[in-house]
Amino acid sequence: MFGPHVGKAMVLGGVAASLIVGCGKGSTASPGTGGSAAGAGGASAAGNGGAVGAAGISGAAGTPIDAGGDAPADDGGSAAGVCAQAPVPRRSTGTILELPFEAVFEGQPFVYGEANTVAPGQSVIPTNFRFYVSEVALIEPGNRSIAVDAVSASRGVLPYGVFLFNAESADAQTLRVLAPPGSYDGLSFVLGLTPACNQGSAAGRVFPLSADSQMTWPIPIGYLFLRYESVVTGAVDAGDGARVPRAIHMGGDIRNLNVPGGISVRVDGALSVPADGSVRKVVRVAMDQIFAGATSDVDLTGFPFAADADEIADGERLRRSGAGLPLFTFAP
Amino acid sequence: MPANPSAARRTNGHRRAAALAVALAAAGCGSSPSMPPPVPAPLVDDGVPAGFPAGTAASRAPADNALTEARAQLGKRLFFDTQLSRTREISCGTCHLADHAFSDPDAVSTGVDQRTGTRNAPALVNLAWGTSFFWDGRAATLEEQAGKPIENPDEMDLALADAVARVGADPTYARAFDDAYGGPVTEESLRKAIASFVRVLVSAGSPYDRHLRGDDGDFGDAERRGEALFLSEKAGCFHCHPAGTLTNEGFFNNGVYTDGGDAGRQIVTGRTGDTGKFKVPGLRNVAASAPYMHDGSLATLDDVLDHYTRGGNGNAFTDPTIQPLTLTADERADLLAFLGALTDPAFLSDPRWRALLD
Repeated sequence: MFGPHVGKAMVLGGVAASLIVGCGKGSTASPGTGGSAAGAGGASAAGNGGAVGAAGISGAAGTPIDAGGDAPADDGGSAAGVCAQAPVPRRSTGTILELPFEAVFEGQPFVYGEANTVAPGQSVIPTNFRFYVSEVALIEPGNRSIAVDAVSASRGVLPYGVFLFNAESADAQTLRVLAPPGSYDGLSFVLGLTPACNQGSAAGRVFPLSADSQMTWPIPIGYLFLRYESVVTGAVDAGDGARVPRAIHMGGDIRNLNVPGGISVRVDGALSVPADGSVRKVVRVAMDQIFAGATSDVDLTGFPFAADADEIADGERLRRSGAGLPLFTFAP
Repeated sequence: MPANPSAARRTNGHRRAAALAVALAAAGCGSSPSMPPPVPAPLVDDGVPAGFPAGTAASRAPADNALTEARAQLGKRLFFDTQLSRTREISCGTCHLADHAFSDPDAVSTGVDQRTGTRNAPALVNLAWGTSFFWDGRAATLEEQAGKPIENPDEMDLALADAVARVGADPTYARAFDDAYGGPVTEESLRKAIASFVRVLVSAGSPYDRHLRGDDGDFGDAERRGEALFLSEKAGCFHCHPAGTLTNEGFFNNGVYTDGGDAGRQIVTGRTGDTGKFKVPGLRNVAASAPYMHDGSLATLDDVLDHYTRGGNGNAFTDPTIQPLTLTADERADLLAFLGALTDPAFLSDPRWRALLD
């Protein structure tokens, strides 16, 4: 266990992390015990320069989320303040909605592990790309959100209610949710983790919150929410001010883990979920937009690790700007 | 002394075993025709390294190879049995030496007919919690892994079918397989038994483990500073070696690869971006498992620090988190102190891991 580390000066980038506001002893909740209830108000992190959090209470664009199922949502692992390894299912019936993620760059396939031309004379070979998805909801006409569980192919709720996309594994690229039949205008999710899941130690936790997720950061600054690494050939600086990041390590709001720090994502488009069988809708991951967010002109003054690692600074730029970017879209 | 270093190690190992036998006999613990054979010390225990995922080694075993004492004991016998090589000279334990955290002190191991491989024999420590095996991850389970060195022409060079025939001809093995797996030896049960032994090699008693449990008696200021540095962006070790497990089980190009060299993970996946990637090893007992890296090219931990200080060998496929470091002499000393605190002397000298005396 990591108990002895509580309150000690764990150092990241030469800065004592114990100095981070809100990242002290109170942030070391044990798995399943819920941790701090802070953030339950759907508080916006905008005041700290963060993305608008949607976890638990507020849906995309501030729409209310209806648990909408046949089980109390607040017993589940995805409710604010709780990170249960085995969340109580929101519903026992429904249709599997498969949402495979496919990376693109300016609309063209962005192939993992191979060279992708991103500018004349410049190519990118992605070598690591993974991200968490939490708090998935379907958006009904009228902007009402219906929270749904992320499930396995056998319909069991994923541990902690969390999906980890991993470009390295073909088995880890399709998000499945158990959806009530109906017609929807889109879906929403949080790119990241809820505050409760973002806190505490990976020790004792199972995948996808274990160390082999490759998404852990040293305590007490939470998990990586998105991890991207690459080999860039050609000029990194294309000369027009554009820059292709070699690595992006985005976490939550590492200055205050008690607030939702992930990026609230809304994907608009018609979704028809039949009563029987399954349905599949491809979700594109716009790498050009991720790069744009990671290299956007964001003032990181006061961000504790901006000067220590380019990948963390680029991750924080993405986190703060991502809510305003079309990072995810449905394929035509 | 044999000219072959591996043969020399085997000789030394046999000398140790003989000395242990003498010592046991002198202490009145030897066997005699009138006494039943000694009961071997149990191999399966409930140790879990600090900071690891919940669950014992037994709980990590696959459902079709539940970890039992009979299976682990059988696997131990097989692990140290030179019958499993074509020339009857090489066992798993020839290249995976307990004193060295079940790694090989040679950069690359010597197999049958003095053949040498291309990669360093990795340490076998806490693999019950592993998610893939070999430096390139080509085996998804310990059971899959266990048969490959037997068949590898540069290692033991024996078809598994031939290994089964040899083992099956021994009545004591036949009884042991029947006890452990309820039937005669098969390729599958042979691999499962060896995997069961590897699964019980749990190191959970280093000063670092005790530190994580709240006992800092052997974890002083230098170790603490080294730990903080290890987990800092300044050294960046945590990118691949997170606290607790000290491996994220991933594959990364850490700058050892040079053009035209061993392409590692790329050979398995075919992906260009996996060129020069190798499995991130756990670091329990790292000070005892020199030399380092997939090719054993770095002789000491000081050499490892030199490698990372210069940011690797400069290949284009090097992971972007590998950057030149600026470390003071004191910081290097602190890092080495921390890495030294990962040594579990009780594991390295555990008599349960020694070869059978007969």
